[in-house]
Amino acid sequence: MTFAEYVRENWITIVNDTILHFDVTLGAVAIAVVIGVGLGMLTYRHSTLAALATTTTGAFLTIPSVALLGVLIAPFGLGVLPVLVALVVYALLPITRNTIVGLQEVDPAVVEAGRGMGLSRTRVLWDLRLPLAWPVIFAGVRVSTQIIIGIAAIGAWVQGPGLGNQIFNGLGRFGGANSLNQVLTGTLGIVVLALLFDLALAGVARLTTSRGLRA
Amino acid sequence: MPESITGRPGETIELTDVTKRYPGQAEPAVEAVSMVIPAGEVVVLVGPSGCGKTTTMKMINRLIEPTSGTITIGGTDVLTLDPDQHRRDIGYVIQQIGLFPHKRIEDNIGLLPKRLGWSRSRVRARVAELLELVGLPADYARRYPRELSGGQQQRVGVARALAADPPVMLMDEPFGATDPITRDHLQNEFLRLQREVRKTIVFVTHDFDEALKMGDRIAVLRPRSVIAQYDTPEAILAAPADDYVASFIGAGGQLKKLALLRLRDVELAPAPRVGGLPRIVVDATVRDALDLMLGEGSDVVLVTGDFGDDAEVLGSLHLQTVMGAAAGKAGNP
Repeated sequence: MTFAEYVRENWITIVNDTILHFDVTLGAVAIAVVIGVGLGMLTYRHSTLAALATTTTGAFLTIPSVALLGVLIAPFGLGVLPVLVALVVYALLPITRNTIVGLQEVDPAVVEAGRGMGLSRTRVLWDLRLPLAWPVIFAGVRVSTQIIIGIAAIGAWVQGPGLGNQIFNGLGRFGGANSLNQVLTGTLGIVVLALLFDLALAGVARLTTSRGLRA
Repeated sequence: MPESITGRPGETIELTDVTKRYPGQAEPAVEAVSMVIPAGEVVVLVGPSGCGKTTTMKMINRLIEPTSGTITIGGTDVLTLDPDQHRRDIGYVIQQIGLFPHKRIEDNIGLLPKRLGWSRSRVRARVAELLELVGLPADYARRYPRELSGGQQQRVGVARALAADPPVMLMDEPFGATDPITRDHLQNEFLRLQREVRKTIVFVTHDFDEALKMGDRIAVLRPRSVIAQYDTPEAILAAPADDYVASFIGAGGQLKKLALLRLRDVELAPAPRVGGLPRIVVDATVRDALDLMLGEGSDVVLVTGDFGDDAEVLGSLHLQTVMGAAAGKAGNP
């Protein structure tokens, strides 16, 4: 069977895997945004805490994914949950780091003007710092997405959802009928999904960034 | 409307023995400053960089908390107030402007009134009124800061500081970052505006000429914000307290005196019938007139009510009158 024939005959499964792959990535990024941006907001004012947050989330990223997923089976069992947790862990660094940098690098004159007109620290953070840091934070979100969309494939190893199942099935019986087609489908699917995802996020970035900040 | 521009007049600011000490520093940054800033006047703090003039100013809106001493505005001890509440009653303009780049001009100006609970229509009316006051077209309300030039941005900065009609304004080298021509424009417009709003203004600069131009009174500061002389520009030029103050005045004291004298305050001679004389607007200073005379090689200039060739001629000014003004005889500044 050719690659095209394989795709044509199995398109329901492939589309299904793609949607699940997208879902788990999106879910993980959403959770990572809440945690990472929150972590950044709590730590950006103290250089030690900020450094601690970046180093810790950076260390997470160095854990081999197979090892992390294996460890997560104990508390979370098999399936989507350990995959989701692992992806959140891997997505934290770019979002946290960009939040810290973005919040720190807001023009001090803007903050001084805000404080000078009687805005509280909290109001300055929400009304001035966050919107001004948003393009930087969102750049981190995009990097995180690109990182975990690939890692999500490994999730199939703990019976997680997504295109990883195509790859693992194919590799598990390599040399067998359609095994190469399966691996190719999974891999190309992830690449295409990653491109489309990033394109969509670029659109979201544009929509959520003030026109006053666009160059 | 109750919130009209001249709504709240200025209030007197009084500093008594105000000191700021930073931990770990032997010398205080500001040492026992006492001064009264009369309601509705522009008081300029002038001194070399690092003399503590900005620190002194920022203690008034408590962006810097004094270590000791008292500060009152309109008789109220500001140290007893909630700092954020307190700052909402003080307009604040800084050299770097600090417009909020993600907000439209109308939202920059309207932010504080909105937070103070003004209705939408009242905020919109206020924004329109302030844009007109600072000489910007009404449709600039919808623009973003980056779409404005530096001078226009600082006008918005001034409008934003006036938004909630504060009785007091603090201005930290507000025109310092603009080119000389724009600075001159902004200064003149600001003086015109102040004639309407009559706020109490504390103005910080290191430029003595700007101090002379802007101030109803000038406080010349030494290091640690110690007051070397606190008086009207005319009095400081006429009798500098000591060599330190004299060094600030620098060369050309007579010319600087002429720069304080507006043509509208000088007795003009009737306009001669000869044509082709150089023309100058009545808002200009005697120094400007002298400059024009030297430039045009004419010992008489026509003083007009407005710019343009068909503006009404109010009279003429002769070189003789200028020399009298330098000697302190003409006019009543």
